[in-house]
Amino acid sequence: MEISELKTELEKLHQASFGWALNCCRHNRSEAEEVLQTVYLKILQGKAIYRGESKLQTWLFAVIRKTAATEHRKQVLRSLITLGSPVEKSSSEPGLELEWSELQRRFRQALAGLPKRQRETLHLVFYQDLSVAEAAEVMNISIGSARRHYERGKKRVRESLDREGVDYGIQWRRKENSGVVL
Amino acid sequence: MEFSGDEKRIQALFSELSLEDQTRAPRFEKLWLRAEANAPAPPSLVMRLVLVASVVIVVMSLVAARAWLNSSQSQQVSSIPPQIIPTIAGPRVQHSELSATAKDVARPRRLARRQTERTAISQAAMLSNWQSPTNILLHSPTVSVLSSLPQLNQSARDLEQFLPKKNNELIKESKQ
Repeated sequence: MEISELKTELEKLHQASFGWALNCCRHNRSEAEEVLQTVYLKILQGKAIYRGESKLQTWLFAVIRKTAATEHRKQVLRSLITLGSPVEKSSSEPGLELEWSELQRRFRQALAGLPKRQRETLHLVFYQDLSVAEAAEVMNISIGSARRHYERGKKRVRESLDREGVDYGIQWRRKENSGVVL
Repeated sequence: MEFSGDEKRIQALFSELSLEDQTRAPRFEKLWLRAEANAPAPPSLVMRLVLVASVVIVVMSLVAARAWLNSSQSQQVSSIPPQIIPTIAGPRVQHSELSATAKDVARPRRLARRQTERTAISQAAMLSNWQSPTNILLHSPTVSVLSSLPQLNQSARDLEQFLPKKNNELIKESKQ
């Protein structure tokens, strides 16, 4: 694929890529921007080459995921070298948190409490509208594992929101036995 | 992928999240241009050709230099006169066993061997006589004193020299 053609395709995927980069960078905007820029640089330098073996989106997301992991590792190392200045764990911007609805805040908290793989699978399936198989490809794991992460993640989000007592017009409990509980 | 029940609700929450992320997303052009600015420009076709040509020239000159060095070394080897290495005479072979042609070949060899033996002997003699020019520095002036025994009546004889001659003669006569 020519670079101009690739650029057009990347532009189409830019919003989704940024969303995925945000997820990989624990919703740190500046870090996500840096990661995405590094990914574009890798593509320009020919370090990341799309060979058409998979969908462009899954390939790009895999590159973003790998780059984010590398950047995070570097950041941890840097913090260790500069004698224990702690790595930023809270990632989202404080101003934005005020704008979020209560439900959205709880939901974000529930997502943040998930293990990495479960969070990634849910993001890819629900946010990016990928299939579980495609999510597995992005995460470089088997479909079986991806499905397991998907089911467990879903269950934990539901449980977490139930525990918080979030209702807001959404009935979280399953309605299989609705006739029994009246 | 079609969702149902809880999945739809989760998807609704995710889509809200996605809308919010979209408002925060930087422009594609901004990131792309920044990446392009950081990326080194790929070498043009002419530059590549120049690069390849220079590599070929360097390799060829190296090969030529090596060939020239090899040839000059072989010339030097050929210009060196053949050295005769002195050898120990081998066991003698009975003359009766040698054929006539073998005898003819053996004669000049024997002569050459004798010559080499003579030169070797003369060179060995020269080497054994050789003395270092700084050898004299190794000898001290007191070596003769230390290496010889003193004579017991030496001091008496030395004193005689200081006595007047007459007395000396008288002493000699009395001795006689």
